[in-house]
Amino acid sequence: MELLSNLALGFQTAVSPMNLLYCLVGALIGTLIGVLPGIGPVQTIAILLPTTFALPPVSALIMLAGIYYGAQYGGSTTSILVNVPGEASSVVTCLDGHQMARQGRGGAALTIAALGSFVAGCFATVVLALLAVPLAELAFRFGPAEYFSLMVFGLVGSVVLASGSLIKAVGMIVVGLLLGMVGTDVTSGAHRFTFGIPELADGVGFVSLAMGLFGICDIITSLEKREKRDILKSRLTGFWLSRRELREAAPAVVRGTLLGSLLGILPGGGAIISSFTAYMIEKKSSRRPESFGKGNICGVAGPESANNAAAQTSFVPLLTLGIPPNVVLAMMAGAMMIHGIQPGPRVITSNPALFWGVIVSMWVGNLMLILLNLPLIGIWVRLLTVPYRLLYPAILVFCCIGLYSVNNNTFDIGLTALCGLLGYGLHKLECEPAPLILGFVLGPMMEENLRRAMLLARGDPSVFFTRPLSLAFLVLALLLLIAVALPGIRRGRDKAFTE
Amino acid sequence: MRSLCTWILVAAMVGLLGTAGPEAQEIKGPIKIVVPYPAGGGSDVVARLIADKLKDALGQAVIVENKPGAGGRIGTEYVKGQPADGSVMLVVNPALFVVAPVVFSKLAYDPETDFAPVSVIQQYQFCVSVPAASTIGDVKALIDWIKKNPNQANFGSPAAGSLPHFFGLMIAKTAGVEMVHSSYNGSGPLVTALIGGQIPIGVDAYDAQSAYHPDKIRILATAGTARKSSDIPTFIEQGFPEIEGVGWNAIVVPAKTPKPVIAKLSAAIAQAVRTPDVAEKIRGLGSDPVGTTPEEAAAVFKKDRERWVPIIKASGFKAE
Repeated sequence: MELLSNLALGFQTAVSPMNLLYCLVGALIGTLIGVLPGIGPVQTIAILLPTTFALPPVSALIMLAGIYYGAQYGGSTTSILVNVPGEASSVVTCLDGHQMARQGRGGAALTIAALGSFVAGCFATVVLALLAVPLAELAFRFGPAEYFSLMVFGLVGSVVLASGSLIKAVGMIVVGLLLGMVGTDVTSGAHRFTFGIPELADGVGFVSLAMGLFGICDIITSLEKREKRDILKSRLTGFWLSRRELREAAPAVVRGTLLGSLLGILPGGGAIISSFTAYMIEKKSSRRPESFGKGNICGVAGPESANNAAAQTSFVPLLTLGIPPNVVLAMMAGAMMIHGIQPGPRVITSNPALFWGVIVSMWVGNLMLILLNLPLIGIWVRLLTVPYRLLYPAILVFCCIGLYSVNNNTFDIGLTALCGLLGYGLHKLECEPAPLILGFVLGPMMEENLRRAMLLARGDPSVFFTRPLSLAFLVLALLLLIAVALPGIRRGRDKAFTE
Repeated sequence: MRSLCTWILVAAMVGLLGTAGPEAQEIKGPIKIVVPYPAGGGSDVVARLIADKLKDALGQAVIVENKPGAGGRIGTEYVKGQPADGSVMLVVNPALFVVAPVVFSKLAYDPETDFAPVSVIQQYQFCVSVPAASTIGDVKALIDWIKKNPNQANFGSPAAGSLPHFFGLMIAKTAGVEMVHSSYNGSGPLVTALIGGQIPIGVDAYDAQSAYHPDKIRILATAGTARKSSDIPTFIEQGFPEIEGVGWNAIVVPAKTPKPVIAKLSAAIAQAVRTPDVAEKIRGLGSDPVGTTPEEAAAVFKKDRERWVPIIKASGFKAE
């Protein structure tokens, strides 16, 4: 019953007119910046942070949180419509979402992304309210050995992201790992592959790489072809799902939500890993794995639910322990400190109205987002009717603005142009960029944790096999590897690809 | 829109001050405080707090500009080439001004010849901590434990080449023990590992750890000359007078800035830092408001070079 009184307190706080307004403002800004390629929640919250100093702390946090999960909603829009992933966690949405848009089912893709996100958001809110404290303990069970083994599992699984040759997929992962090596080595502090360029000391920017490989590359390749707008001819207004699509997507939403809620708690790449893993699970468990990468609705529903659930449960470590699991939440921790609230285990007891108010506001915000977004889908889809000669320059301009705002530096724009050329080259070689991105994201974390585990164990590798969680991930990775490598299964896989 | 607002503001300020008579050291506005880190971080927050007050004191629009990248070196190099008339200031710390010149063979700036100190705005203490479940209760017990368990004697810091990293080495050197250093990707991951018992010893800034003391971790000692928290003794009190050191954020300007301009900026900054509401917010961030003169700031820089450079050199740490 304590939960009910806590939730009542939360509702009291969250539905006060002023907090409702800030929740709406946050969700709205979040959606908008999510839709604009390049400008992500990090820059937006950074810019808006000083303006929140004047607000009461609860309102400030409600608004900032709204921007964060609103951006997850909006981010899928650009992934689906123009193949530009705004964030790491929406990269996989491009794979099937954009294919759906090309087949004239962009509206349906946007609808399932919004519905999936809503379901995930609601569920994750309940998880937060019920299990925040016990779940937080999970993060502590993850030492360097566990992280390393989880990453190994993720990388082995990432080969299923490719819908082409297995060798090429592995090659792309290796290229991604190499690109991830650029920058300052966390363990020794040494600079690697920076060629004396100070801008490279922080590594290749994720936004630059993703935008170049997907968005910019897509524009270059489209220019080669004559303008072909099949999208126009097909059901532009048909943004509601067919019964069959709904039946297919519903279980994917549930799986994605559960997965995202669990993995979101891990500091580091929770949202990214959960969206990739959700895609992997959907493809592996599907009866038609060959249709992935060609516009399978489960390939949108699973990952989109997962990343939204993860975005929300990533508040668990911040609100219960004061540990920000990613850059956005680190800024929110900063906002709390400015208001004299020390983020940490004492927030629940010392500021119950803030804790429960923010949690309930997430549910309220998700409701607002779906009410806001469903009618907007019709408008977004019309974006596709804009002729390419107008749409492409506009996308490029927005990309440049977004890229410049990351570091106030033109270097990132040049880097993105280079990544676009790289993407074009890969496209010509029929190599897929998704495994490269995953290698790029997971590689540095994997290396950091491998080296830390070995350092702390004084070079004894048995640490990976004696810790139960770590062993479990390694066994799973091995099973997955066997499944991919077994001749019989492999023949089936190759057959599936050639179909 | 924003620039329009700025101009209206500037125009209003100029109008207001027009009657104040000719000032000997007029600074052309708008004045920029460059923060070489992303918005939202510790030094950014402090810069914005001060900028708000400087506006009134200097009669100019004061804006904060973030130039992040390469651990702050990109923003620092950028300010080196800016006009030396007091219109561009830079927030720096020991990582940029004490550590970088030692660990980088090719550094694009020289802290001593390219910049002039204006004021140290805040100071923060370092601390050493253990998980709350640990039986170690003070620094002496920690040293004994390290001697008995050389295979587990690991300490974590928020980054390789950070001052906490070298502070950990300072502790080991003074106590005559050896510890293996493992760097984490920031203060958050470090404290997570510490609470989870993944690493037995943590060294970081006090404000990054104080929230978890004493429920989740135990802070054994802080590194200042006076206690930071009434229940945590300093290293000095525990019989280690050589283990002392604080970190800071300071404002500097390009070296050729005229002395009277620096004096004017310094006075305005010191006053801003000491304003009760700003001082209170800085304390809320876990650090101490300072606000020194340019001479005092120069003395702090010099003293810290003498303190840290031998330790950094002895560690053999190189960034390139």
